[in-house]
Amino acid sequence: MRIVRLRKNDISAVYELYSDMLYRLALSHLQNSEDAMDAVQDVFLKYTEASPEFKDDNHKKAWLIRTTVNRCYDMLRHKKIRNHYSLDEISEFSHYEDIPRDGEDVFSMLSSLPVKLRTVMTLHYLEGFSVEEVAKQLVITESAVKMRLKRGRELLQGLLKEVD
Amino acid sequence: MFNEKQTNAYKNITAPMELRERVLNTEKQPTVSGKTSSLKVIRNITTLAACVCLIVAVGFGLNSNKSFTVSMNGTNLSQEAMPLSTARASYSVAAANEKELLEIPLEITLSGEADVTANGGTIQNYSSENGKTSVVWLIDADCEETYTLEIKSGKDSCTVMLIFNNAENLWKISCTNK
Repeated sequence: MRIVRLRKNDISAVYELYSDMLYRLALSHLQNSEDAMDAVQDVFLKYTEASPEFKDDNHKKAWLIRTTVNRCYDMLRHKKIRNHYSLDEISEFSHYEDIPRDGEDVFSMLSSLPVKLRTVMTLHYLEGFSVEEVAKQLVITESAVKMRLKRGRELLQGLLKEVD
Repeated sequence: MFNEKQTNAYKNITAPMELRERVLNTEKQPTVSGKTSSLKVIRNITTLAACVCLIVAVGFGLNSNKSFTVSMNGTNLSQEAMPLSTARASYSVAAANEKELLEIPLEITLSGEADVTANGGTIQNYSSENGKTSVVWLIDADCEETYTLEIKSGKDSCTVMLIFNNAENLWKISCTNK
């Protein structure tokens, strides 16, 4: 017997469309470009091997985002990477390579948040997805998204006041 | 929340070329290469658990339809579901969000060519010798309770089903020929 075909999707096109966004998303969670690359690579590997079927491009995008976020959560758990840091500790960060200073500031701010708040803050405020879209991507209710955004804003404002 | 400069700086971050090469090279290889070491350790443990269960499973009936034969370590799979693992309890951490990783070694006996498709997980490490093809079906069992692997050759096909039995709290595997 010879296996003649393992079902696969066209990964190249999907990579070109979504890799930057997924990499930024992973970077905002893992705070390290090497780990972010590992996470995104795993997502594309899963995409290639599992060949999930999608209703449309939005469904595909949501799957990729959700899988990336879940992979980041897994990596944070398995590697026992801490979920959040105080702003004092953040100044010690030097994991970002080839990222402009303003971008570094964003990641530093995000890293002070618990990981689930970080996810919705990144998707909504930085990637520009609506509350409804974030809810669909993460398979949570819109009110849960709104609550996490509110809590994320409050935490960030509180932390920034502390620093001042 | 973030000022325009910060948002633009964030949006200007692009995936490194190294990632592109890694992802597109992965596409050409049928094996998993980018997993973390901790996942490999868990997988090894899962493999061991699967092997133990296979020994227990010897003695279940043979498949009545002989067009395909699918076996795990010498035990033919049949329509009668047999337990894959009795170690669900050992994955109690998995219930609190971690994935349950299943590694299922299958041996397919069939003359001719076949098309193998799984609805979840990955198929890897396939090798062929004396009409027998060995594949390893790896599954991150994180949400679904049913996984299928379909083997098609001409008009014949068979479906290997992996189902989590909530009542017995274990995975069961079966094979149905069509």
